Amino acid sequence: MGRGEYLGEFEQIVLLAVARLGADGYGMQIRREIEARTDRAVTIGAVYATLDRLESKGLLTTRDETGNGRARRFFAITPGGIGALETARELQARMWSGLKLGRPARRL
Amino acid sequence: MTPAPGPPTVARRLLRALLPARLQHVMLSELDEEYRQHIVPSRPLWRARLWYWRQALGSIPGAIRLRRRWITEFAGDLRHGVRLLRRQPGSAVSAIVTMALGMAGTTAVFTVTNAILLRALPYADPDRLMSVNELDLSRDSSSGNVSYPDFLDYQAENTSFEHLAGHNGATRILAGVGPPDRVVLGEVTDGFFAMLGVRPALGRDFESADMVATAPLVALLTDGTWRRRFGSDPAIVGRSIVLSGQPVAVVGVLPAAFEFPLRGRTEIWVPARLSPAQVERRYYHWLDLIGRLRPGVSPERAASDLDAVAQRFAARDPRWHQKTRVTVTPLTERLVGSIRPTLVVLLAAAVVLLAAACASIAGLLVARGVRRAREMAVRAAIGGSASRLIRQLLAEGVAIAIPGGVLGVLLGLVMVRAFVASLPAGQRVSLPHIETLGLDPVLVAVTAGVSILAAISFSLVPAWQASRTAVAASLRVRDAAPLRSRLVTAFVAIQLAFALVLLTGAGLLAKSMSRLMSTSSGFSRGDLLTMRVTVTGARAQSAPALVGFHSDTVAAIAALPGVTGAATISQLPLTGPGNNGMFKIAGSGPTRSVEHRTLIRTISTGYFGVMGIPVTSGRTFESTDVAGTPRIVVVNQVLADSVFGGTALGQEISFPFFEGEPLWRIVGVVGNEQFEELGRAMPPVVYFPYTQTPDGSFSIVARATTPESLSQPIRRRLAEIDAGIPVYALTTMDRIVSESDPVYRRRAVLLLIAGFAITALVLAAVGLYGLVAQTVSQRTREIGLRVALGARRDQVFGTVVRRGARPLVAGLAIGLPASALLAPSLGNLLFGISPTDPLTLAAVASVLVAVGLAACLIPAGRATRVDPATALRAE
Repeated sequence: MGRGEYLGEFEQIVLLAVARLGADGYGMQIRREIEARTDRAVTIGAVYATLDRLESKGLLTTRDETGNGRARRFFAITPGGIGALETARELQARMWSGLKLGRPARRL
Repeated sequence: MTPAPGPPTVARRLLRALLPARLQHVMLSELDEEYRQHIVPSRPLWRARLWYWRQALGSIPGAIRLRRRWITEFAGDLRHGVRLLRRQPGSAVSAIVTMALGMAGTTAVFTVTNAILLRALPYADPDRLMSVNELDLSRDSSSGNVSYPDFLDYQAENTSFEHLAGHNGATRILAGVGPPDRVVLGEVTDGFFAMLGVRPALGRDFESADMVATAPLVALLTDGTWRRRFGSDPAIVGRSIVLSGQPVAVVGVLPAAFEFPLRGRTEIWVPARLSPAQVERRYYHWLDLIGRLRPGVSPERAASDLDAVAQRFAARDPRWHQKTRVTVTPLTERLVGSIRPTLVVLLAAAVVLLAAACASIAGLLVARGVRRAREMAVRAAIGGSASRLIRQLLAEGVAIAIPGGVLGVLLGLVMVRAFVASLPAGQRVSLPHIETLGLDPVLVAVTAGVSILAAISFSLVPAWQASRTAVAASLRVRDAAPLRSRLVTAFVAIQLAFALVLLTGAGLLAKSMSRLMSTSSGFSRGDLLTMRVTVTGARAQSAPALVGFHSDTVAAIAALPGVTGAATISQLPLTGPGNNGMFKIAGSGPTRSVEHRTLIRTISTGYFGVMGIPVTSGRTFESTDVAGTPRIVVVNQVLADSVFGGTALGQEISFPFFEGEPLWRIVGVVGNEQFEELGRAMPPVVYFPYTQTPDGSFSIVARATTPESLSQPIRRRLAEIDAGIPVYALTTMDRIVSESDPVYRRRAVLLLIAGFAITALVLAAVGLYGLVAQTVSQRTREIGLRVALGARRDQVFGTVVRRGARPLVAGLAIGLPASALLAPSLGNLLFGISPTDPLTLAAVASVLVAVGLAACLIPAGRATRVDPATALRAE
């Protein structure tokens, strides 16, 4: 990943879902994991579009499995992917560091 | 239990259509799997279906992103590629120009070939249209035309054709529309246009009633004639025009797309009006026959069918057609059969040029790959996949191919325009589709396809190399360099070989051309102005009036300043065999009954003098040889030798086509004159004096110091004699020769192949220069070291030149056998030279070596100037 490129929010969520599922993470499973944890409806198209982009950045690897009349694509996070997640968390942490947000008082 | 119902068909189809192929199967399969989990007995089915629909519709943006990813990435690669190319504009421009030159030749040659060879003739169902020819096997050459009685028998007795129709050419003087002018007519028999499937754009077609000898005269105009001569007069139908003094009613105008290359110059079509001789004489072969086969009948079956008819009428009248055979060939074949080998040669040359251009670009890209090895290795090390790197190089290839291809197509079109403009009128009208030659969308698509394909293929080798580099560790990058440099050497060698092949073709053609032009035509060709005159009106009806006009004309032209001599002949030399016939030798004895074929010409006194033809024995015509004095002829040496064994003087001969078959005494023998075309064997000729066989139409030859400047004075002078007599076909003998088929065709092919050869040679020289220059710059340090260690300058020079000699030797080793192998395909374009002429091969090989060495000299010179101190300090 070149300089100046950050993981987007959904990219982080998908990458985290892949990391959580470990070896069991195939497309639909990742989608369900995200729905379950974020309480947001997510479509398979959105998940795959992001998985595809992450793969092209070298943050994921894939493995296809077919049998029993079905096909599944399993995803695994690469060291690069782990690094990208850590960078993202670190960046956020740095941005939050020492920051206290109070809602501005309304002036009359 | 019934199987669970499948997912909603429409939604699934929608997704299938939108998803990219690489993910389609796995995504649909996973979706189906989960859909089945949604079907539970406790919940209505529609909820599962609704869930599927929401997944499908919600996936559309993602699906579009999935598809777009590749496109946007490729666009990014393309931008990157363009940036890289702009950083090295020299190599980018040379690659694009190389590509354009390669494509231009191919586009041009393919456009022409497509028009002439591949596009269907503009007739209904053209595959069933046949040219029918009757060949007399007892003669050396025959026109293939049939006589009218033969035609009627073929028409009545055949079972193979839906229709048979004949055509023939004629000329008339068109009066009343501008100054009187000669127009070419096409005469046709009943049903000619309907058989072709051509309907007039205005008015009506000829009808059977128009064919009757007593019917009023009618005509159909071609679209061009209607526009040019009649200003596109919308009321032309029904108008009367005057052709050689006779009123003729225009009944229609043919469509603009109509063309009939066998009679390409025809301006006006008329029903054939037969002379008594044409109706009666079975041996008078004048009708050119075309037929439309019945569906499913093969040309071979039709030929044997007509052969049977011919045998029947030969049996009925055994005087004629004893050895007649009928051939049936597709009309397309008749039109383009003779030019096909030429076009195939050009196509092959264009393909060789394109291949040379591709090799040149591949060499350039590989050389770039060498310089960019480190960039590739770094990208591979930071995780760029092999496919990603290949795609990057592919994008750079496309960045060259697309502008190169576009430029090439445009350049090709310019070449096509130039080609059509350079075609002599006679060539232009005798080939189909040439007049309307333009950009063909199919052709543009094909060219674009070739250009992209070329980009992909010449990107692949460096890309493959790059992917190998990606596997290697970045520190070992230098290991790949020798292999690449071998590849560049190979590409340069291939270019040199292609250049040699094209050079050989050009060399052989140039030599053929010069041999052809130096063949004797029997007369002196320079400084000859020629033109044709057709006498009309009352004067044409009387022999004394014709003779008077003829001698006045010749005298008037001979008297013009700048003219050193003038004479006339019934048909100019080097314009085809023309009028010919059989003669018998008078007297008795076995050899006397044999008939001999000869060309027949009618000339004025002084013709041989003006042309510079020597009189070898006897005398030529004098002004005292006139009608009423003994009939005399002059023959040429070929005839005197072959028929009379040299003792022709004083012999008497007779011709069956003269009323009463009078005897003609041979009073002279002259040198041979070429009437057909340069390079042929000299034909036998019998010359008649104009005074004894006057005719309304003759050609004038005038010897003059500046022939071109005389056309206006001659026109003015002849108009003074009779303003109503048109003078046409004013040209010089040099031009007739250069526009004649054997000369023109060889010259056109020579120019094109020479252009291709020079292009290929320049490309190869640039490639070789690049290779050697790169070697020098890569090995500057080594050279510096060697110089520091005491290597002499000439040793350094020799090392560098040897580097360039390797591809040069390889190029010769491939190119010479390839040339020898391909040269015979030039076929009959070669004249008086063997396709493996060792002198030509040696000459082109030395040209290649000279150019190749010249390309090495500059970098080799630079190498000798390497300063060891600077070179070593640089590291």
